[in-house]
Amino acid sequence: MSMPTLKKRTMATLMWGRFRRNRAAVLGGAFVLFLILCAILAPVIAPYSYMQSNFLATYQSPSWQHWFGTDELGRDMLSRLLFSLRTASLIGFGAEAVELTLGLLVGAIAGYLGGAADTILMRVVDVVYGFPSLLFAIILVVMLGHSLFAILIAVAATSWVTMARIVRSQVIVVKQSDYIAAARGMGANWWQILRRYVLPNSLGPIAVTVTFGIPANMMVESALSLLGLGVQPPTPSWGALIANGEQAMFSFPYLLAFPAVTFAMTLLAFTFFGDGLRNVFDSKSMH
Amino acid sequence: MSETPLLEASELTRRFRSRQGVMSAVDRVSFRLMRGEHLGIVGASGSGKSTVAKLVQRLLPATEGHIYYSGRDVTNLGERALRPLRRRIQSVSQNPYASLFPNKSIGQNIVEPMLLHRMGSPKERMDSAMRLMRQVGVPSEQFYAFPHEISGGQQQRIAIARALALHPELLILDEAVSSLDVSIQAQILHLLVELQGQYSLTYLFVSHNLAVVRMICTQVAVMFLGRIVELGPVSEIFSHPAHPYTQALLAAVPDFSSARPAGADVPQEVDSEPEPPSPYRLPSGCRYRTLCPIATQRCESEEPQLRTVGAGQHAACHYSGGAEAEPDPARTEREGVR
Amino acid sequence: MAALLEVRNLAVEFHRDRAVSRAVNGVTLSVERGKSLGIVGESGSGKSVTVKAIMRLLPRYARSASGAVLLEGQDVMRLSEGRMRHLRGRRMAMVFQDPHAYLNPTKTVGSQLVEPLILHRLAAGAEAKRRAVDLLRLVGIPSPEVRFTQYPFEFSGGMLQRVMIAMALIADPDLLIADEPTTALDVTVQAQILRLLRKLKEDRGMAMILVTHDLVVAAQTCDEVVVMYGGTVVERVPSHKLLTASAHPYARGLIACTPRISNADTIPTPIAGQPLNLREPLPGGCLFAARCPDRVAQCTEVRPQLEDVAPDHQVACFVAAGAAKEGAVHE
Ligand SMILES: Nc1ncnc2c1ncn2[C@@H]1O[C@H](COP(=O)(O)OP(=O)(O)O)[C@@H](O)[C@H]1O
Ligand SMILES: Nc1ncnc2c1ncn2[C@@H]1O[C@H](COP(=O)(O)OP(=O)(O)O)[C@@H](O)[C@H]1O
Ligand code: SF4
Ligand SMILES: [Mg+2]
Ligand SMILES: [Mg+2]
Repeated sequence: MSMPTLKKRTMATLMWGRFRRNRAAVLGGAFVLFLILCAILAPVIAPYSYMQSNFLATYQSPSWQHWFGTDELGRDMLSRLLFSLRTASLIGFGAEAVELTLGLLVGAIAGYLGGAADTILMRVVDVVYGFPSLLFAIILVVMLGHSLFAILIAVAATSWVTMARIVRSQVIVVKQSDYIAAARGMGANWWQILRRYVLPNSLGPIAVTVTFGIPANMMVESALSLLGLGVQPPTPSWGALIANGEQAMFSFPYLLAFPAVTFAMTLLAFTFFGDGLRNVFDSKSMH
Repeated sequence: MSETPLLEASELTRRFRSRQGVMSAVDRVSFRLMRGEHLGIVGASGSGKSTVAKLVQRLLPATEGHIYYSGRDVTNLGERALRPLRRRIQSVSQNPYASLFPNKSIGQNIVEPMLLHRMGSPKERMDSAMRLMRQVGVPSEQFYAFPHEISGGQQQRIAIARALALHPELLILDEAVSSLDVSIQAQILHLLVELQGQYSLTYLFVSHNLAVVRMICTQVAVMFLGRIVELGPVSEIFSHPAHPYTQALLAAVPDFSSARPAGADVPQEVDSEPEPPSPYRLPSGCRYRTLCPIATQRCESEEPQLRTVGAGQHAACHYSGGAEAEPDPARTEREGVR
Repeated sequence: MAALLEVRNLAVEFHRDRAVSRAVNGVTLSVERGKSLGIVGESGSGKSVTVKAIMRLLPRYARSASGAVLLEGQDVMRLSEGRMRHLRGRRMAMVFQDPHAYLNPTKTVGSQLVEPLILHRLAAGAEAKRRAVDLLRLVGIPSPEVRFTQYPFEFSGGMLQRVMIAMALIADPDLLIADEPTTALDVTVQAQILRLLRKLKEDRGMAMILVTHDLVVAAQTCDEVVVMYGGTVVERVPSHKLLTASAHPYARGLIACTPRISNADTIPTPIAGQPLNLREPLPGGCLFAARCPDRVAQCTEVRPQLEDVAPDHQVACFVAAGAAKEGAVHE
């Protein structure tokens, strides 16, 4: 490997350089960005209202007016899809934010303090980990209702433990690493150690977990709405769209195809992006 | 006239508690290290070498005993009061890759300690890091290379440069050349000798490699299960080791002279693995006695203390330096008080 | 006498992430029954890849561009995976540097010895246990009946390595390969393990390959030694000549910079230059040429091949081979 002659490089530029070379990851990342934009701008870019029915235009095949066709009530499928993406994103990202907060808190405390605090917290985590997560989410939704917030909590209720485990093991690894001992030997105080060394070096696996957590949350949300336990109609949701499309699968295949394909593409995009991130972070320790 | 040692350990003890019980990783260890001398610590793995290194660096609190730095008791100094002292004691560890900050370039790694101690301006820090890089033999153009992009030998050079950034007096090297290939090891050893002259450094050199200790150090401490069993000048100990453990250690080092002649001997019998005692259940008396070829009744009942057996040479064995030798009276007195 | 194992011109490359790593670039060696061969060289010189190729234990992305591994004439590289599994353990067995990576921490050492005995249909029931205890005794583990019931964490590093050796001996292999078996051990323990290996080889008439970065260990333990550099064998020499009469400049350089306890007043002179970068295309001539103090023009143009400098001593160096010929003329 030839070394650059004194051109400033940071870890970020190094990692971006490596990420960029992974075409699947870049495409995945671009698609994820595109999805986020669509979700945010749904009210602006959606050609129709997602709930306005039009009984003169039911079951229309894709056309210039209705790119993705219309459903049994004549509602524009593209608009409905855009808004279901909004729902999925709200829950996917929202629940992930809850998981990250809880996971960081519990994981960091357990990992940093060790001892009894660690034992107790991790016992709780183990118990929650043992819950069948979908079943638990169903019970919670039944108890809390079908509001967006309730679903968000139901989705996050069990999956934060994964984050807590990752954060804990990461904190332990970093805490015990030789470079932290070196930093102490140099006279760094605990705040400097946390900010300059522990945080930057723990970020990788956490970012990867977040990237894989979001689509997982979207899956749970769709599963809930497939079962009729998701956000309530007329607010559209991927699961409901797919369930709906499935009923008319043979006569009007596009009703299933568009939501199913975009759903699959979304999950795939997150996976590619996450894999790319993982490679980038792994490469730090690769000779 | 007795000069103040740069570093002194007095009855230093560190106990660890685990599920198996309590063990003393370091047990009443005492030594003095004079400025400009180099002390090697040798012994089997688990004998407590690294724990001693961490104790004197105050990275691990001592359970008992004292550490003096230039005559000042620093055993219980708080982290804030310790900060100026940390500048004067720096260390290099066995695994350079693990000890370098992975998220910083090798140049920034050297800048980092200066930054933490707010030394100089950013420009001065960078210049000084580049100077150090050249000094340890890494081209300063590689300032922005990352630790994972350079070889193990170069990583160790950078770790040494970083340790020198604060102009320490004492450099602690814990197995610093042990994982390197012999050729790179020789390069680093040459570098250490050169730097020592330039910066008037004092080395505390922890290693299981006796030949390397013999090259670098002036004094050596041999550890066995937490205790120093022999201590003294390298010249004395390597030429006539007094303690049975030191003798066994030296005899086991593969050496050119012991290399096999053509069609050499075949061992007659399989010797079964001699079991070293568990640090959690040490034998009574001398802790080496279960492995010792010359152990007697006395070794079972009485723990041998370090005592003078030659010119500056001390051994903790009842039978080193003649069976009649009496234990150092001053020492026994102190032990009696404890 | 025909060799038990013969490796001819073996080459192995790793293809990954569109990068190629040329780990082994033409290794030729052989070992006879009842003899031991040391493979020495610095880290990265291809020792482990060579022995893993012999055992067919390389990952799938490893490609073997050329060569043959002949076990009594049979090319191991062309065997099916099924046949190969049959061969491993019975004909060739391996001991690694880190026993922890190969032992199950949750099972007793005894059960881990009994399992393969049953698997290889060598014994069952009480007989299997008896054989396992015998094996533990054979490798010098004190009170083997007690040790049989204990878990790996209750063993010291040296004892675990003995357990690994016992496991390798289960199906009475013809060839025992040990890859840095004592590198992680203390010198006193190392000396015992090396004695054990020598003794076992002698008693059982096995062939043995000992991979080590320590030339002195190889010289003490083996009958013959090959020195590797950049994935090639640069010298093959009887072990009693290794430290005193090796011919290749790289071998001599390595010996010169090996610290000696008996001669530690001066720090040895390191070999000049950098080790070969196996990710870049290999130089055309001798792989050591860039670092070689004896280099002549020919060295950078033609790759030297192993040549006899004595009946039992070969070297891949124009200058060393030339000097030997001249010496022979003068005599
Ligand atoms: N943090 C710790 N907790 C418990 N035991 C420890 C700890 N650090 C070291 N030890 C034990 O102390 C003994 C000495 O360890 P160490 O100083 O690392 O030995 P050496 O460096 O000589 O190999 C070993 O038995 C080790 O297991
Ligand atoms: N699984 C692998 N994948 C990629 N490269 C490898 C792998 N194993 C070994 N190598 C490379 O092959 C070369 C030789 O390695 P090895 O045989 O392990 O060296 P040695 O055992 O002599 O230290 C090294 O450059 C190493 O990086
Ligand atoms: S005191 Fe006794 S047992 Fe201990 S080393 Fe000396 S002779 Fe051996
Ligand atoms: Mg250590
Ligand atoms: Mg190897």
